[in-house]
Amino acid sequence: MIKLPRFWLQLGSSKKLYSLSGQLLPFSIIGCVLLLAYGLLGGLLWAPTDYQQGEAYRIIYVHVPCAILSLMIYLTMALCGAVYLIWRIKVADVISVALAPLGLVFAICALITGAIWGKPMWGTWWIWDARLTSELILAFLYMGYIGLYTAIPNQQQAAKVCAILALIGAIDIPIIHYSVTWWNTLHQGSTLQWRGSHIAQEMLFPLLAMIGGLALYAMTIALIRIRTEMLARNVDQQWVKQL
Amino acid sequence: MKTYTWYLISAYGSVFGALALIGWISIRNAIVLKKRLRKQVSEPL
Repeated sequence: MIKLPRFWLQLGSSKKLYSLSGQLLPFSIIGCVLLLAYGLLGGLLWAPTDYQQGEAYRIIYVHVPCAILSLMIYLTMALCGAVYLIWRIKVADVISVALAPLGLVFAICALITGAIWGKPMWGTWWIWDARLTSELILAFLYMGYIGLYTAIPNQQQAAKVCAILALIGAIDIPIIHYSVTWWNTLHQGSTLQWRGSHIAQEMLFPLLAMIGGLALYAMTIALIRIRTEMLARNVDQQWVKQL
Repeated sequence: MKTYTWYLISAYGSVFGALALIGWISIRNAIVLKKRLRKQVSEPL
C-alpha cells in the first residue's frame, strides 16, 4: 500500500484537523466577503450588457459558479471516499458527510438558475438535454448519498457503502463536463476554458471573483460542518472535553 | 419592472436564499452542539 506523506497523516487526526480548520475559518470568511462584493458589483453593475442575450445573461454570475462547485464538491467526496476505502482514515468520511448537503444545494441551484436562464434564451424552462440531464443525475447522486448514509445504522458500514457510491458516481463528472462536446446539445459550450475563454475581460473577472467567493463560502460552511461533525463523533475524547 | 429583472431576482434570490439557509442551519447546529457539550462537561452524568 502507498504510504501517505507525514502532513496528510497528521491531518487524519481529528484534533489536528479541528484546530487547523479553526485557524482557516477567518481567512475564508474575509476572502469570501471581499470576492463576493467585487463579483456582485462587477457582475450586476460594471459588466457591459451582452449584445445577444441582453441583461438576462447576468444569471451567469451565479449559475456557472454553482455548476462548477457542484462538480468540485462531488470530486472531493469521491477522493475522500477513495482515501477512506484505501487508508481507512475516518476524517475523510467526516469531510464527505459534511460536504454532501452543500454539494446538493449547489447542484439544485445550478439547475434552478439554469432553468431561469433557459426560459428567456431557449423559450423553455427544461429540456432533456445531455448537460441538464447529467447535472440532474448529479443532484440525485447527492440525494442518494445523504439518504443512504442516514438509512444505514452502523456508521462504519454506512461510510464504506457511501464511499463506494461516491466513487461510482464520479463517472458522472466527466460526462457533465464533456456533454456539450460529445453530444449536440442545446446548452452552450463551456464559458471558461484553460486556453482563452470566449468571454470579454470585463465580464470574465467578476465571474472569476464569483467562483472564488462562492468557493470560499462553500469552504467556510464546510469547515463549520466538519468541526461540528468531528465534535459530535468525539464527544468522549479528552481533547473535546477540554474545549 | 422589466421581465429580465424578475429573472435576475429569482436566480440571485434562490441561490443566496439557499446558501443562507444551509449556512444558518450549519451554524445553528454547531452552536447547539457546543452548548450541549459545555453542559455535559459542567454537569457530568
